[in-house]
Amino acid sequence: MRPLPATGIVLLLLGLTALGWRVAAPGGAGSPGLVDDRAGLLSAAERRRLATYHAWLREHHGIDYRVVVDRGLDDLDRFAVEYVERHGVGGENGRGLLLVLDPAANQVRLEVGYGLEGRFSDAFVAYLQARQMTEFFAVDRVADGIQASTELIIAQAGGDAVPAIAGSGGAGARLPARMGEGRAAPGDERVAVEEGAPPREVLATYRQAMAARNDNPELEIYSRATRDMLADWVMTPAQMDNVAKSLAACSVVDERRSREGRRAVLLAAPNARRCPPYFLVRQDGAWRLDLAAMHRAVRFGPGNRWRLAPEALDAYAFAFEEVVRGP
Amino acid sequence: MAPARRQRGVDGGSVRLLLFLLVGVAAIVTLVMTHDRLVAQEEAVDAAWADVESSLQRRADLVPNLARSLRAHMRYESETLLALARERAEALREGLADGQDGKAAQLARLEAALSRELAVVMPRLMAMPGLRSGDQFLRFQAQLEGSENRVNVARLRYNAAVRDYNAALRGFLGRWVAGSLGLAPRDYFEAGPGAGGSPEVAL
Repeated sequence: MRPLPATGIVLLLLGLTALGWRVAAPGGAGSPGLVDDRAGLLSAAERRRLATYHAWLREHHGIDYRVVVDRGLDDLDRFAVEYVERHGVGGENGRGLLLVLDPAANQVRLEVGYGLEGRFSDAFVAYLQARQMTEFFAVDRVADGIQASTELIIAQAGGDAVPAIAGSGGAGARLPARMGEGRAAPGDERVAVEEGAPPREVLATYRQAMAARNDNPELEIYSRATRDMLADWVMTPAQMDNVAKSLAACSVVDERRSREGRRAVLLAAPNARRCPPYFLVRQDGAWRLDLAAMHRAVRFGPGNRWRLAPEALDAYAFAFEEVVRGP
Repeated sequence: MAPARRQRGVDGGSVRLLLFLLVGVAAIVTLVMTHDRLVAQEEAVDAAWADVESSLQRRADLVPNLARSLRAHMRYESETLLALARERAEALREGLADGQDGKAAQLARLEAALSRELAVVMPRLMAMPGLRSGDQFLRFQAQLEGSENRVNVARLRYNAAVRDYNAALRGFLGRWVAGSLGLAPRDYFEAGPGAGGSPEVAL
């Protein structure tokens, strides 16, 4: 038998190394990937959307966030710890998050790796699950719930790397998943706004309503289109907290009104990219927030930074002529 | 023929000597490896135990904070129950502070007693509408359950490390090496039968 030529041996070793790397890498042949839906709860498009988002999270924030959906897992706490260990979630620095959802047991757990325990306390994880994620699960929007919670994770993540070891030690929280429970009836509490109140005052009232987690879609400060939109909207406590926090941190520095005086836009400083413009319309003799128009025209990207969709500005284009005209 | 025989005799002796040396080296290497394995396993048990202790400490420290923060919301009945839990937490803290033998079983019993008290008091607190709906209760519930889960994970890992270590000590060579090193089997972190039963609460 002729001995293998040296190049053949080298090629064989390289091939084995590549195979080993592929098996070991997250998402590789031996790994279940970022979204492991064994219960078939998510559509293919939803799985792709979440996987893309979580790949972005890993690339830009160094957080390895995986999702497992399965039935009959029995002990979610133990399953999560063992899964993290078996699949190396979070890598050597333990910067991993594992969301385990068992729709049959109606339980959800978010396991936090050692490297993220400082940022994601058990209390924060419980808040994220109870006040954001499961609000969507209750109306059978599982993928939206996971994605909405990821936005809070990004806001909390920060860029600092905490020295830590691989794996996890049971940090995180397990809560009832509230699957298909249905949307809780919104409150009917009203807000007090003086007659003839200017746009800034209406915005201040909105901030107070959000701080009080007032999810009544029929508030006097909302335009008719906004009320229609909010009637079917999942408005989570965490979203309301975020709006209140954002408004508290953002000062209005400019107010622009349309020529006929029926519309107004409140603007923060141009460099405050986390402070979106607020649109208001005059209806029935009072200024009202036009969140429906805002929803169409203002988009939020990574890190909650806003940008305009000029084609959707419609009647509010007057406030952004420099954007509409272009440089 | 005679020189050839002499040649074979010399070769046979060398081979026997070589075999003897090989067996000797193999025996020494095996003993060294057994020793190193036992020492490494003992260190793994110690490291796992340190995790258990820090998890227990975290749990014991949480309860007084919980009691302080929830005092404003509590009725007399819940306050009495929480005082009992606080006493159990204090006992656990004291148990962690003293360094006596047989500590694992003792701490496991103290932890089980604290868990029993908390299992009684938490549903009572959760039944208070003003408290249940707020974020404060959610926060404390998450912290308490998180601390319990950390203890459970640390317990599983510690018991697994002890199982491996004790099994190695019982092996043929392990028993021999352990005897010369003075290594003793370790206790599992178990509260024992009856420790997880429902408590009798007199008010």
